Amino acid sequence: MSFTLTDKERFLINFEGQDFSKEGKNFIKVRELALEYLKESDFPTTKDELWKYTSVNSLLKEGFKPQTSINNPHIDAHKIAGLDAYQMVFINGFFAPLFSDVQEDELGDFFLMNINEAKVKRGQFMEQYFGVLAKAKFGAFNALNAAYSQDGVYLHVQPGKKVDKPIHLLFLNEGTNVAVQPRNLIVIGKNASAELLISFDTIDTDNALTNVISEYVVMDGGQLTVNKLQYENDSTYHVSTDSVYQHKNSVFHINTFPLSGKMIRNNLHIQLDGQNAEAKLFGLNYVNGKEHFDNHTFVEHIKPNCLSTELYKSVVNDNGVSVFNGKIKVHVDAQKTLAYQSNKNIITHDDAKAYSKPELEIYADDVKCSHGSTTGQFDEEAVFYLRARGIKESSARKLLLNAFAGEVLDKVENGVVREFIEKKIERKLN
Amino acid sequence: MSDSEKAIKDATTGEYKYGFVTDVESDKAPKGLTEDTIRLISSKKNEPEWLLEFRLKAFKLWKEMPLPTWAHIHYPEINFQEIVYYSAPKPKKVLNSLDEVDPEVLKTFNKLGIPLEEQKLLSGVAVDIVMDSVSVKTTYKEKLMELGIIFGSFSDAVQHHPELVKKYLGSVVPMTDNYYAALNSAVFTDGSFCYIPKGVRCPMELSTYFRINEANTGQFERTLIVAEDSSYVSYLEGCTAPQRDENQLHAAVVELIALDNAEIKYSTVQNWYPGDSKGRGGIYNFVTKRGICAGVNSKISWTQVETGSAITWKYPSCILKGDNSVGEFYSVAVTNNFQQADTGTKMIHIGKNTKSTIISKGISAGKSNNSYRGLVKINKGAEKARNFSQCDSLLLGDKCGAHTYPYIECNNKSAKIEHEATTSKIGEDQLFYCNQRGIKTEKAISLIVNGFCKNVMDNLPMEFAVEAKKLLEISLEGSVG
Repeated sequence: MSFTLTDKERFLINFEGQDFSKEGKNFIKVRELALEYLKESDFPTTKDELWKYTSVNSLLKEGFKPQTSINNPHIDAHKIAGLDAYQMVFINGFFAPLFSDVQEDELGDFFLMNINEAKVKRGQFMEQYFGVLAKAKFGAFNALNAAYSQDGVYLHVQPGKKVDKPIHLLFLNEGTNVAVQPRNLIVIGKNASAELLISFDTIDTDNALTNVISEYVVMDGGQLTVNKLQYENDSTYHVSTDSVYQHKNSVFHINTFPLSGKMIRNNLHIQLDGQNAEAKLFGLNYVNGKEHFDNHTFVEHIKPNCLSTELYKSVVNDNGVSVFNGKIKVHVDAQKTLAYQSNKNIITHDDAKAYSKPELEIYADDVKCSHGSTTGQFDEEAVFYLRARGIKESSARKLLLNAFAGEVLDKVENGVVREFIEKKIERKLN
Repeated sequence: MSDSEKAIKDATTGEYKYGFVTDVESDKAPKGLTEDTIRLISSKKNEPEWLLEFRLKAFKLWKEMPLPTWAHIHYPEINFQEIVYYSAPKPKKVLNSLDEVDPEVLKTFNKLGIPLEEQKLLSGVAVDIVMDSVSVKTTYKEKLMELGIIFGSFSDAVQHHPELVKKYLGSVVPMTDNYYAALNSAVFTDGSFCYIPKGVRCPMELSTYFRINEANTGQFERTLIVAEDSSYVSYLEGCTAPQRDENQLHAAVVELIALDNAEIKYSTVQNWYPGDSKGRGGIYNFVTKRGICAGVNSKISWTQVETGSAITWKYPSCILKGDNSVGEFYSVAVTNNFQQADTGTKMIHIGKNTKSTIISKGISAGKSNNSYRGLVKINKGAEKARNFSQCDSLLLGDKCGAHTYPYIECNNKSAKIEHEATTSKIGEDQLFYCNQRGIKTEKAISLIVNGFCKNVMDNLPMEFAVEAKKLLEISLEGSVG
C-alpha cells in the first residue's frame, strides 16, 4: 500500500525527535497535550475566518527544521546602538548566555533568565502561568510552539519593584530552512513595572520560520510597556502570538512594528480582567515589495471601568498586502467600558492591497465604544501645498508619510528605540 | 425603578399588535421537499419547461450545500421536510373590482391600518398584494400599462413575459450564491416582477405587502426589478405577519437590475412576528437581496426598517459595475426580547468613480442581539471609488448585545474609504436635559430614538415613513411616541 503525506504531515515530520525529557513532568505534559492537539487539528486555511486574508499554504510546503545554536556568532551589528538595557539573546531559538544579562538572585528586584533554566529553578511559580493564556488548543501554530519550542525568556518582576533599565530581548536567526520557536513568560508583580524591547532580526538566513508565543501577566497596579520590532529578512515567515492578562489598575502598552519579512502575522489577545485596567495598542505596518503583514488584535473587556485605546496604521507600497483585524468584545458585566479603535491605511500603488476588519461585540449597555477605519491615499492638495513652497515632490511625499507614521512612532517613549525604528523606515522609504 | 428603567421595561414588553390569522381557505401542497414537490409547484403554476429545469438544478445544488453558520445568530436546526412549500388561497372567480376581493383579506389589510381602498384612492399607490404565495389582486395595473411599465406577480410575468424573466432571473443572485438562495430558486412560489422601459419615470410608488398567513408555510418569494436605460422606479415592500407559535421560515430572493442612467429605490418595512417576550415563535427571515448597477451613472438605493422577525439574516447589496454608479444603504434595525438580527450590506465597487454610502442604525433592547455585518470591496479597476460607512448602535437595557463586523477590502490606490461605528446607550444627561424642560422620560426616549434614526427615515418615501415610525413605536412600545 502506498500513500502520500499531506503538507501538514510532511511539515511536522521535521520537528520530531527533539529531546525534552529533562524537563519537569508538568512541562512535559504541556508538550504532550499540545502534540495531541496538533495531530488532530489542521493548520488554518483562508476558509477560516481568522485567516481569510493570509494564506499559510506556501509556508507549510517549506521544509523547516529546528537547528542548533551556532558557535561564535557575530551579533554586534544586531545590537541597537546607544541602547542601555539588560539583554537576552537567542540564536535560532537557543539561548546565548555569552551575550545575556541573567538575573537570578532571589533578593534582586526581578528574575530574568531563559525559560529552560526557569523551568528548573522557578518551576513551581511558573506552572501557574505557563501555557494558561496562550493555550495550545487556540490553533495549530500555538500547538506547534507549545510542543516544540526550544527556549525563551522568563521575566518576573517582584511586587513593588521597577526594572531600572529596559530589557532587550533579541532573537536572531541564521542558516537555511531554520524553524525558530521562542516562548516567553513575563510576570509583572503587584505595582511593579518594566519596559521590554523585543526584536526579531536575521544574521543570515535563506528561508526561515519564526513562530513565537509570549504570555504576559500584569498584576494589580503593574505597568508593562512592550515595543515589538520585527525586521527579519524577506525570506522569513513570522507568526507571533502575544497573550496578555491584566489585573485591576494595571497598564499594558504595546507598540508593534512589522518592518520587514516575507509574511508577518501578529495575534494580540488582551484580557482586561480587573477594574480600572488600561490597555494601549499601537501599530505601524510599513509594507514594501511583496511583503504581507497581518495584525490581528482581540481586546476583551471582562470587568467594568476599563479603558482600551487602539490605533493601527499602515502604508502599503508596491505589491504589498496589509491586513488589520481588530476585535473588541465587551462582556455582560463590563459596564462603563471605554474602548476606542482606529485603523488607517494609505495605499500608494495600484497593486497594493489593504484589508481592514474592525469588529465590535458588545454585551453591556453602559459603554462607549467606537471604531473607525479609513483607506485612502496622499492628500494631493497637501502635496501641492508643499511643492508650491519649493519642496520636491518626493520629499513632500516623504514628509507627509513621516507625519502619518509619526502618530504611532510618538507612542514609543524610548528615544533610542524610536530613532532606530525611524531609521529602518527611512531605509525602506528609499 | 427609575423612570427611564420603567420606560425601557415598558418598551421591551410590548405585545405584537398584528397577531391574527385570516381565515381564507387555502390550497396546500403536502409537507416536505422532494423533486415531486417542485414538479407540483411548477405544474400548478403552469410553468414553462426551462423554469422547471432551473428549479430542479437549484434543488440538486441545494441538497449538497452546507448550512451557513457564520452569522451571529443561534437557532435550532430547521427541518426542511416539515415545511409546506406551496399554499395558495383557493382560486375564485376573476376579480374586476376591489369589492370582489375576499372580505377576510380586505379586513386583514384594514387591521394593518392600510385599507386597500384608501391606498388606491388617496395615495395613488399600486399595491400588489401577496397573501401567502399567490398574488391576489393587482391595482393600477392598467394605468402603469399605458406607460409600458410591467408590474405584477412573478407568475404572471412568467406567463406573459417569459423572455424578460429568462434573461434576468438568477443574473444577480445565482442559485449557487448561498444556501437559502438555492432553496428559494428551487421552490419559489410567487413574488413581484417589475419592468420599467427606457426613459420612463414611474409616476407612483410601487408597493407590495407580503404577509405570511398560513401556519407552517414557508414563504419563498422572488422579486425581480429591471430598470431600463434612463428610467426611475421607487419600490416599496412592507411586511407584517400574524402571531404564531411555531417558527416559520421565510427565504426570499430579490434581484434589481439598473441599466444606464437608471435609478431604483427599494424601501422595505419589515414587521414580522418577532416571537413573544419569552422568545417563543417568530419568523426566521433569511433573505438574499442584491442589485446590480449594470449601466453607467445608474443608482440603487436600499432603505430598510427592520423591526420584526425572530431572526433576520439579510444583506441587501449593490454591485457597482457601471462607471459612475452609486449604491446606497440606509438601515434601521430594532431588536427586542429574544430577537436576533444579523444584517448589513455589501458594496462591490467594480466600475470607475463609483460611490457608496452606508448608514446603519441598530437599536437593541431586551435580550436581543443586533449585528451589523458589511463588506466594502474596491476592485483593482475601480478607480476613484468612494465609500462612506457609518454604523451606530444604541443599547436599551443591559442584557442585549450590539455587534459590528465590517469588512473593508481595498485593491486600488485611488480609492477613499471611511468607516466609523459607535456603540452607546441613551445618555443620562440627554434624558436629564429633556426632563428638565418638562419632557417626560418616555417622551424623551422616543425623541432620542427618533433623532438617532432620523437620517435613515428621511430616505423613506413619505407615506412609508409614517408607517415606519409607527412600527418603531410599537417595537419599543411605551417609550416611543
